[in-house]
Amino acid sequence: MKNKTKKADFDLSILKLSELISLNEKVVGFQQYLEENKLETENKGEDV
Amino acid sequence: MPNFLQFIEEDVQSKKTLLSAMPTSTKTNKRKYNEKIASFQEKYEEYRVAIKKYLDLKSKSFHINDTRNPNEINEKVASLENIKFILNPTNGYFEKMGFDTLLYQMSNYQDLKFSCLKDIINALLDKFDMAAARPKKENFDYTYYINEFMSSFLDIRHSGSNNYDQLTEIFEKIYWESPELIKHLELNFRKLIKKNEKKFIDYISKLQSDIKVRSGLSYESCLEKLLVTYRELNSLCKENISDVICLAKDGTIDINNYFEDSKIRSTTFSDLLIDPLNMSDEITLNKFYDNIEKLTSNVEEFANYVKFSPLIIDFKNRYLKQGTQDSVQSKGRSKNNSALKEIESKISKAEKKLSKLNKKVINYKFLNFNKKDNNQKDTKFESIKLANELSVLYDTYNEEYFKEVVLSKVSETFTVTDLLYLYYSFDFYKKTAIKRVYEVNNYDEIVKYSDSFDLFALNPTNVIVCAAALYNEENIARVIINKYRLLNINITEEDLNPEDLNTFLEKLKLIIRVREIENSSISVEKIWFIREVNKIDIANSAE
Repeated sequence: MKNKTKKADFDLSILKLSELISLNEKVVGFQQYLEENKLETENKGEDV
Repeated sequence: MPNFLQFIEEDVQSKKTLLSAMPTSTKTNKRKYNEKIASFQEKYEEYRVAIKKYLDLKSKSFHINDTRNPNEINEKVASLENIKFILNPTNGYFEKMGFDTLLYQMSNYQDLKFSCLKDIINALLDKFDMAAARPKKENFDYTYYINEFMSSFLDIRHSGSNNYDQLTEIFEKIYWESPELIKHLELNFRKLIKKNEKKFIDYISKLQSDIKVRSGLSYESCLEKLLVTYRELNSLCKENISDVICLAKDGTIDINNYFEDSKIRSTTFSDLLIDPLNMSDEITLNKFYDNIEKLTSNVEEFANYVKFSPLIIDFKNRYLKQGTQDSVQSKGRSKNNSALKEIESKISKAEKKLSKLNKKVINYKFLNFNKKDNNQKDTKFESIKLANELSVLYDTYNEEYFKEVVLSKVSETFTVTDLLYLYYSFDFYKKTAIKRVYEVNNYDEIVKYSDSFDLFALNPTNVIVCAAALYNEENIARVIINKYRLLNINITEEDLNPEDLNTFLEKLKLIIRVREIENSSISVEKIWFIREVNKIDIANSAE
């Protein structure tokens, strides 16, 4: 899978123009998702 | 094998599933959870950077550089316009020296800062120097205060220091005693210009001879050359594919409307056709496009006409009375001539009286007479009163002067172009009319209107206004509609409503841009892509 994805990873030339834009949107969208889903942690207190 | 988009879609889904399944109740759990998130963020930032790099390269590869360079042709136009300005037979030395523009600025001093006034005065004095008519301190004798102000001004100017700070203090002191100082200064300059008329006439005459010899052109041949050069410039600067790409890139036009399956594109085409067109027939299609280009040029000219029609109507009302035009022309000219001479004579007499009056006060500066201050005060007051009366006389003179110019030009065949050219030749009156008609009180806005007017007046590719003998708007609109209906192009009166002109022009431009794209090496999709990448750039810079 890793090797397969490695080949697909950087072969962006096979994508249509609209797919390239969509790709960027998905990556940026997931980055926003990750940022929003970070949890706040308290430094003090017991590990409960 | 999945492509990268498919890979990302699946990867995002699986990572979201993984995160949602991770426990987050304890502190340790939360820490591990956040570490996972951080590792995903790191990976996706790598993806984002690599994708963005690729998008940028791809977008740049589609760009079509604008290789046009209008500099040379612009210089040619500027040079020819300068020759035309000097050889213009419509106006005289007063306009050719640029006195009209400068005195207009001075007469609108309430909108200007002091530093601007200093520049105007220096510009006026430069013109006197050019004609070897340099005025001395004693020539500025309209009032005592003018003499005091200009004596200091000339001292600073001739010293070369360019430090007018001291003058600001003098101005502040004098202004409260003589608030119409700047108006009086304007009149003083008018008097000096009249006094040195012969020198200015000779200067302009010599300039005209030199220009004719240097350029090898007469006024008429200059106009012919300008027409050709403007046509070249228009052709060069016409919106091309690089312009279309830039307009789409920054979102000025919505490139989505240009796709073949766009409803807006198809209805724009169909709305403009009386009978449907065979779009696959290249010859018919190109004819249609050519007609749309000509129509666009006519509508742009019409839009300008509409913009300036208040000025045209104002001119008609002021100078061309219905039904009495002939009698105004034949009798009015001679009547106006004598009215002008009468005012000139009144001004001359009043100025002589003023000069004599001011000698009493001004000369006290240099002679230490032990006269009572009250006498001086009375004389100063008297001279201001007389100067103010002269101000009214000059206003009347200026109106009569232009009336005489108009009456000498106006005839039954007087066209809109003739009117445009008349105002172009008389900057002072054009700006006065703009201020009155558009109720503009801001000098910068007057200049904007004025420059826009000149562009319209000077455009030798105008066709409608050349023939329009002061037609009204409806007639011109009807002429355009009828002409193009003969060419299968559907225009209605609503399309040419002044309020709807911009909307109609945008429709026409859409069609011209479609043609431009079709004739180029780029597609609508590629332009769309360039726009999308630019949007990403903007979003990134906002962060």
